[in-house]
Amino acid sequence: MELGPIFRALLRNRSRFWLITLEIALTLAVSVNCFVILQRERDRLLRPSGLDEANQIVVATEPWSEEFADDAFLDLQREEDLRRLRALPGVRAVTAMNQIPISRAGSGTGRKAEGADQSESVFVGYFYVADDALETLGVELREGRGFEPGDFPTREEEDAGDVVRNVLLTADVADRLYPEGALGKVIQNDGGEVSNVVVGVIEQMHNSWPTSTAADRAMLLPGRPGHRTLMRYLIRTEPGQVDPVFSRVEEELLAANTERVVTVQTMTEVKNRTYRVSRAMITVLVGVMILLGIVTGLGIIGLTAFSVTERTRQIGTRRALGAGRFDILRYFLLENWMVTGFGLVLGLGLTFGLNYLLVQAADAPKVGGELVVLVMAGLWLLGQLAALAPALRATRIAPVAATRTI
Amino acid sequence: MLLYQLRMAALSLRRNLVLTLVVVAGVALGVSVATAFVTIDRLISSDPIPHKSDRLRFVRLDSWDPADPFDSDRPDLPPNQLTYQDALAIHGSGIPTYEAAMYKSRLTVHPDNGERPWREVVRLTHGDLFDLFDVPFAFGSRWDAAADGGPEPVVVIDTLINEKLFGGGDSVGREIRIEDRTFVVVGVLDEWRPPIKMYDVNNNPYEEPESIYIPFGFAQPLEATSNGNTNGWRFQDLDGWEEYLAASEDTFIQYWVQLDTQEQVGRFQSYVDGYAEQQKMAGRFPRPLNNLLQPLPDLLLTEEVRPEETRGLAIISILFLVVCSVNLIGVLLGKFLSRAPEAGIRRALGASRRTIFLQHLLECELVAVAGGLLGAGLAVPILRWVEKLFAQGEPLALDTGMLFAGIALALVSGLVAGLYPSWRVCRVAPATYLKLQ
Amino acid sequence: MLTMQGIHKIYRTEQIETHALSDFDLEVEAGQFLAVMGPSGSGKSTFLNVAGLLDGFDRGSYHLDGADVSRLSDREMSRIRNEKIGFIFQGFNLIPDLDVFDNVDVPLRYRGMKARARREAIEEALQIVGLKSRRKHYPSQLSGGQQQRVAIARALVGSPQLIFADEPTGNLDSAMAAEILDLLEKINALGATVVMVTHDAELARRASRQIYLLDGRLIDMQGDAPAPLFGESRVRASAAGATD
Repeated sequence: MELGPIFRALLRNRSRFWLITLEIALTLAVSVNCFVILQRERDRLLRPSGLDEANQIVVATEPWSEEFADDAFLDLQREEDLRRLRALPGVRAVTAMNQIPISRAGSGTGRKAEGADQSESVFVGYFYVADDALETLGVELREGRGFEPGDFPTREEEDAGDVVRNVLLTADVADRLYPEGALGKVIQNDGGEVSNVVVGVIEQMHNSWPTSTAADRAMLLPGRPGHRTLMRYLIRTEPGQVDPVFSRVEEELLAANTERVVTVQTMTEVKNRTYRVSRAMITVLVGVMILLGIVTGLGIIGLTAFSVTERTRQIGTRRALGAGRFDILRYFLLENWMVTGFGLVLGLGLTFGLNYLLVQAADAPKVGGELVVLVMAGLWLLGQLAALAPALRATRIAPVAATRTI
Repeated sequence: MLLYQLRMAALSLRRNLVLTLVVVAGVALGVSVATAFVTIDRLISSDPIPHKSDRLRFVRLDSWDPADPFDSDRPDLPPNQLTYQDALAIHGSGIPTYEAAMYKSRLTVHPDNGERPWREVVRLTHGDLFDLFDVPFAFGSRWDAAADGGPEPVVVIDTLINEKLFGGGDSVGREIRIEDRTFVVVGVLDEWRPPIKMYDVNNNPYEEPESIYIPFGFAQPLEATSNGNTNGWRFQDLDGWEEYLAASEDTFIQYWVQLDTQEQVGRFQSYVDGYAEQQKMAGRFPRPLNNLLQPLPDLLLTEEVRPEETRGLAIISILFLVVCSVNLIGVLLGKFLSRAPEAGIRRALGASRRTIFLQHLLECELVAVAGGLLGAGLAVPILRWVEKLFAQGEPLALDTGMLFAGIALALVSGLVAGLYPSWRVCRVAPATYLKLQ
Repeated sequence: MLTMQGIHKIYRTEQIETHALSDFDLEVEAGQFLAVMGPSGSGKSTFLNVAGLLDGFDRGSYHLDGADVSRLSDREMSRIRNEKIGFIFQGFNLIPDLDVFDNVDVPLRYRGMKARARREAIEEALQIVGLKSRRKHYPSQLSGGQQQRVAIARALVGSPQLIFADEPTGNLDSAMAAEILDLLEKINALGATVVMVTHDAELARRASRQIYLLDGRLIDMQGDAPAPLFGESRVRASAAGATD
C-alpha cells in the first residue's frame, strides 16, 4: 500500500495532523473515562434486588390519632388493613414491614455466629415482617422454610422479653456466619443479649441500602411491624396490575381509619429515587458523550474538507496520473486512519492520566484495558465515517483540475 | 487603529456568516456545558457561609463503643452526632456566643382550612440556629432563649408553608396545629436556599432546608422521633420514648456552637472534656477522651460533603470545552489561510506582522465573546436540567458569577484557539500570494 | 495512435456557450513528435484535456490506441492515463508534500508494482532527467527547471506510449527550455509519441509535425511549409499575446 508516502506527506502538514491527533486523543481520554463511570453506574442500577420490583407497591400510613398508642388497637388496625388490601382485585400478596428494601432508609444491626467474638459480627439490614412476607417480597428460598403462624410471638411473649425469634437470612449473611450451613443454627447480636434461630435461607435480596457493599445482607424477623406514628405495608400485585391497585390503596385504607396520612408509591418509584444519582449520571454522561462524538465528528469532517479543498489541484494531478476514484477515496481514508491511529496512541497516555486525576479527585473507577480497546475501535470507526463525506467529495474532483489555473 | 481593526474583523465575520454562526455555536456549546458543570461544582463545594465558617463549630463527643471506633476508616474521628442526653447536658454553659442542638422529625400538620392533614419534616432546634447560620427573616424574628426550654409553643416557618397555610404575607401571630398542639408563628423566613444544608450534613446535605422550626424542648412532649440517621452501638432494653431520650446511647442530634475567640474555643473545649470525664466516672464514654469542636469547612471535608459526581463532571466538561477549542483552531486555521492572500496584500501595503496578528486575534475574540454570551445563557437551562436530574427540591440560587465564568471561559478559549491560526497567517510572506494573482 | 473525428467540446455557463473545440479532426501516428500551437483561447488546452482523457467531449469520436474513448468507464480511463499516457504540466503540478522520489513514485503506486521494481524504474527515470542526487529534496527546494525535470521523470517513469506536454517550458528561461526540449526529443527517440502544446514557434519547429488551432478548429502545418493564409508575423503576434 501507499502508507509510506501518505505518512511522509502528513508530516509535512503538521498543523492539520496535530489538530486531528489532539482532538482524537482528547476524545479518547474523555470518552473512556465517561464510559467507566457510566459502566459503574449501570452495574449498580442493574444489580438484581431479588424482589419482584415491577409489581410492588409501598404504602406508608402515619397516624396522628392517640388511639394508635394502644398496642391492641394497633394490632387490630394492622389486621384490618391487611385484610382490606388483600381483598383488592389484582393483589397477589400483602405484608406489613417496619422498613422497605432498597429505599435507603432502614434499620441495621450486627449478627454473629453463636458464641463468636464480637469482631466476627456481620452487619445486616433487618426487617420485621407480618405473615406472607416471602410471597410479597417475591424472593426465592434456597433452603429451610418461610414463617409459619407459630413463629410470630404474642404481645405477651414480646413484653416478657428474651424472645428467641426464628429468622430468615439471605445467603450472603448465612454463608458468612456458618459456611458449613446455617439452617437451624443460633445467631446473636454483638453483645450476645439477643439470640435467633435460622429457619430459612433466602437466595438473594437487597436490604435498605442497595448501593452499599453490604447490599445483600438482610434478615427477616417475624413480628408486628409498625408503631404509633408509622405503619408500612408492601403489596405485590398480579403481573401488570400495579396501576389499578395503586389507585385504590389510599381510599381503602382511609375507609378503615381516616386519622392518618397515607402515602402510596410504586417500588419502581422508590428504586428510581434510590438510584437517582446513578440515573442522572448515566443521562448526563451519555449526553456528554453524544455531544463529544458530534463535535469531534464535525471537527474531523471540517478539517478533512478543508484539506480536500486545499489539495484540489493535487487530486486532479493524481487523477491525471492514473489514480481511479477509489484510489482517491482510499488515500483520504488511509490518511484519516493513520492520523486517528496516532491520536489514539497519544490518547492512551492522556486517558490514563485523566483517569488517575478522576480517581484521585472524584473517586472514579479505574480504567481497564478491554474498555480502552473497545472505545479506540469506536473512535477509529467514527474517524472513518467522518472522513467519508469529504473523501467522497474528493473522488468527484475531475482530472482536469490538474490543468486549471486556480 | 483599533476601531478600524474591529470594523475589518466584523466585516470578515459577516462575509462568511454561516461559518461564523457555526463557530459561535461551537464556542457556545463548549462554554455552556463547561459553565454549567463548573458552576454546579462551585456552588456545592464553595464555603456556604464564608464570613463566619471558621467560627462555627460542630460538636463531636466520643461516646462510642469501646471495641470499635465510630468510623473504621477514620478511627481518630468521634461520632458525627450526639446522644440526646449529652446534647441536653452540655447546653447552657454560657461559653459560646450561640449554641443550638437540633434534629429533624416528621410531624403531622393539621390545616384549619378543611384539607387533609399531612406529614411535614420539622426541625426541632434551639432558637440560636437562626443566628448561627444568619438565616434571613421576612417577617418577625427567632424565638428567644426562654422559649427553648419551657418550651413555649412558637414556630418559625418558611415562605412555602406560609404560602400554603396562610396565602403568604406577614403571618406573625397566626396559629398552626402540629400533632395535637397549637403553635404561634413568631417568624417567617425569607427565601433561603444554601447550596448545601450545612447544619445537617449527615442527612442528605443536598436537600433543601426544612419548612418548619419548633423549639428543641418539644422533642420529649411531642414524642418526635428522629427522621434522620440514627447510629447506635449498644443494645439497651429501654421502655418508651422518655426513657429512650434519657438513657439511649443512640446518636441523632447535631450540635452547633459559635466560638468567636480562641479563648472561647479553649474554654468550651475544656468544658466538654470536663463533661466527658464526669461521664466516664459514671461508666459512660468508654473510649479514650476524644472530643472535637470541628470548624464547618473541616466538617465538610471529613464528612465528604462535596459530591464526587459533580467534581468528575466538572473536570470532564472542561475537557469537552478543550475539544471544542481544538475544533475552533481547525476552523480558524482553514478560514485564515484561505484569506492569506488578503493578508499578503495588507502586508505589501505596509501592515506589520503585529497588526495582522492582532487583527486576526481580534476576530477570534469577537467570535468568543458572542459564543461566551450565548454559552452563559445556554448554561442556565443545562444547569437547571442537570440539577433536576440529580436532586429534588428548590433550585439553587445562581449569581452573576456564572455569566462572568462563561465569558471568561470563552475569552480564554478564543484566545488560546486564535493564537496559532493568527500567528500562521501573519507569518505569510507578502510575495508568496501576490505572485499568484 | 490517436484518432479524433468531428470532436465538439462546448463549455456552458448561464449566459453563453463557448465552442472550445468544434468539428475537430486529428490523427496522430505512433512515434510522432507533434507540436500544437495557437493563440490564447484557441482551444489548445481543451484539446490537451480531451486528448489526455482529463475531460470528456460532447460529440464526435475519439480512438486512442484502438480503444473507443467514449465507451470507456472512469476506471478504464484512469488505467489508460496511468499506463499509456504521461503528463507534463505547465505549472509542474508536483505534490508539494512529497519529495522527489515519492513524486515520481505516484503513478507507479496506482498500478500495484512491487517495491523493488518501482525503485528501479524511479532510479532510471531520475537518471534520465539527471536528478538522481536530488531524490530526497522537496519541490520547494528545487528550481523551476529542476521541478519540470522531476515532472518529466514522473511522466516517463511508467514507460507510456504517449506523452502530453502542456507548455512545458512556459515558466522557464530559454536555456532551461532548450534543456527540457532536448529531454522530450530523447524520450521521443526512445519510441514514445509526444504531443506538446506551446506558443513558441522556435520550439515548435523542433517537432516532427506542427498543427495550429484557431477558434477550436485545426489548421495543419505539415512539414516545413507554413500555410499561406497565416504569415510568420501573425503567429508571432498571437504567440506574444499568449505570454500576457
